[in-house]
Amino acid sequence: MLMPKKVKYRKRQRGRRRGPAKGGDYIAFGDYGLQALQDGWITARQIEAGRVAITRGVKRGGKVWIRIFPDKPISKKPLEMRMGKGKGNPEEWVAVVRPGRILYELEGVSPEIAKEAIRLAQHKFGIKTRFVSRHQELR
Amino acid sequence: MSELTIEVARRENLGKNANRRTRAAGKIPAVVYGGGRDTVAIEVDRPTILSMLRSGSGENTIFLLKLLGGKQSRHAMIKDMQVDACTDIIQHIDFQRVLMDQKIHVQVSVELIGEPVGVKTDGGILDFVTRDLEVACLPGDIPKSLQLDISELLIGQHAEAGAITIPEGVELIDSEDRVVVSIAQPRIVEEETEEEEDLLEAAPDQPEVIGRDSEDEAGD
Repeated sequence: MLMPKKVKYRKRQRGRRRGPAKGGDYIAFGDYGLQALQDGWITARQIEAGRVAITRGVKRGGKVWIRIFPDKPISKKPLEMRMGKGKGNPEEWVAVVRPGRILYELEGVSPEIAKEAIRLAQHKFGIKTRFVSRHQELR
Repeated sequence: MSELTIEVARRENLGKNANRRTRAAGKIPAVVYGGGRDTVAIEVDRPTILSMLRSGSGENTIFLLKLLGGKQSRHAMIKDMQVDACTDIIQHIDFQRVLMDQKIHVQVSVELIGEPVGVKTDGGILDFVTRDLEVACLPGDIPKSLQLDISELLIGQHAEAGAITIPEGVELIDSEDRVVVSIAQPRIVEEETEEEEDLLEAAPDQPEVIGRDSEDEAGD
């Protein structure tokens, strides 16, 4: 699963997620993509599950890009632990996602296969997402 | 080249609130600059712009911007557009005035011709690395696309910008060595489903903390 090789600090504060994505909100590499429409924390496990779903969905051929990286450690206190005694231990890694962020990109497959592969990956996230293509019709 | 005319109105009320009202009224806030003249805040009709963009003439179209209620009209092109990432609604447009006798730099899309041998017979993956190239030309000579024949490419080979036949009067600004298309090895179908599932269930290791050792030593 994805996580940083080195970090400066083991634990981090939660932070806030306000406003739209400031970058990574357009298709840069492939032809199709999966875009977040809500904000949230996407865990490394979800990212990996989405990647597996897309790779299996496209079967053969195609190239997949993962556009997010889980660089935020989430700490948790053990079960049935009394409060206090300091912050819990880092348990998982998440990517902070804001609306508009492209999560995956896909190239080298037909639009139908891409749509189906992305649909399979959409079920792996707890936030609203949508299928986007490079030639998205403007409104 | 057929010339489009777009009617625009001067925007008197500026700022966030006024722009929101403009958008609610079915217009797009815009600005026109360049050509050695002052920047002017304008508004354009949304359906007109959308029909122009959908007509396939693209963003490199040169058209006449005609000020509503005035005699002024200038050649211009879309320089930039702000689009809401989630809704695909155009928020703002930058128009650049164009002098028809002066060369301009524009991004022109690359059109691939043919299906590479490496993809058709060997099952390679086509990686379209550079989709737009920067060219300099007179506004009247802007090509709709730059065509690149890739039908001979095998796996592991690539095509560079220098291989594109550039039309007369057009100068390529980007490097000729720039890779436009490459044919990658086909991806091996992954059979390691159990391993993948184990990986998903396994607790992650912890990364190395930078400067941790030195801190500990100092603490002791």
